Amino acid sequence: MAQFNKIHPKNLCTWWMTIRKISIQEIRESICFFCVYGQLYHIQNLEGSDLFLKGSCDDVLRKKVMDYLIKVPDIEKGGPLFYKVMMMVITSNTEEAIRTLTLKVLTYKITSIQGENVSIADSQLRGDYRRLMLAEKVHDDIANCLINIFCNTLMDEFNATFKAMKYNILIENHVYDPKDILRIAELTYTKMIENGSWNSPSTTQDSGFVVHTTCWNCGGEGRRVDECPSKKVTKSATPSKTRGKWSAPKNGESDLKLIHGKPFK
Amino acid sequence: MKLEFILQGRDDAEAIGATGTIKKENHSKLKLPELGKLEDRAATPLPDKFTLLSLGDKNEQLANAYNVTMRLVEMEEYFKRFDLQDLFYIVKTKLDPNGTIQQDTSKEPLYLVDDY
Repeated sequence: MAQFNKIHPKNLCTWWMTIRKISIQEIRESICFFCVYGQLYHIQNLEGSDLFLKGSCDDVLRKKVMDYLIKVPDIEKGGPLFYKVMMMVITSNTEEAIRTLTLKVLTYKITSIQGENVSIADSQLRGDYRRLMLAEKVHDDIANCLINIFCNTLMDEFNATFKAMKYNILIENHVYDPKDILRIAELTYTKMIENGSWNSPSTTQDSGFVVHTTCWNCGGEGRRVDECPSKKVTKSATPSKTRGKWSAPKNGESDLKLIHGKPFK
Repeated sequence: MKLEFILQGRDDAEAIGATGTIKKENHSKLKLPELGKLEDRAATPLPDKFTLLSLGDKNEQLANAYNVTMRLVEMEEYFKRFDLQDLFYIVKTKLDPNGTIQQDTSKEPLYLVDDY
């Protein structure tokens, strides 16, 4: 069990918490102290551990760490500082990805999905919620955020369920589990589809995440070329000026053709 | 063939150290080429590298976090093996009135690579 705990991914957080307790400045001062008052093997080991860690990073990570350490004086450099910065870079990368993901969920619009398909919205939101759960970085207001998403469809009957939930939160301080909200959305939607009462007008985007697109036909913002209202100019629509060598004979024309002055049937 | 053994048996710690740990105190006793060999071995990187964590789908995320955790466990084993741990105890320092760096003994050194 102890071994399992040791390698379980969740324990990365524990590891990071420990590393965060010690600042970069403290590590630099400690290394400086080892360099000035430490044994000879301490100085050798500072260099050895630094080389070991540099070699144990992939190229992208090593470059990021070394960029960070470029202005640090040599007397304050060594394995412990490299280790701290390396873990900091790994963590911040995750946090950056989480921030983007959280923003995606917060700006999610169900009206952008074709037919306001709640099943698609549910899958997308459920997937992102799981990822945030795994990283233990779920936004505090995620339940409210999900309710707001499902409150704003074009189907009043569907919205009513979530408006009632919103009311429960405001008046009765009711706490909803985000998984329950997603499940209720899916169930309500399925029920309405079965009753034939779900007749939301279609839009064309398959994802609720807001994407900024530019039309390749007219250059307009917010739509793709296949949604462009302007008349498209395509090669097939333009009449060809000359007919090719191998075109079919016109009406009344002999099927005997002359190519480079020679008859060809 | 005659096999030769020492008469006094090693204690457990020393016996384990004989197959693994290279005591830091013994580094300075080594001379070339042994010292060079030790330095080369001590700086040999891990076969699997530390990488940036990505936020992919569920399985990828798990595998990625697991990979980093395993590299940390391997790294800690390496520090024990080559007796480098004391560098990772962060010594608290202070400046005396002359501006000279001194150890602040009122605070215990913190271990950077915490063993949970």
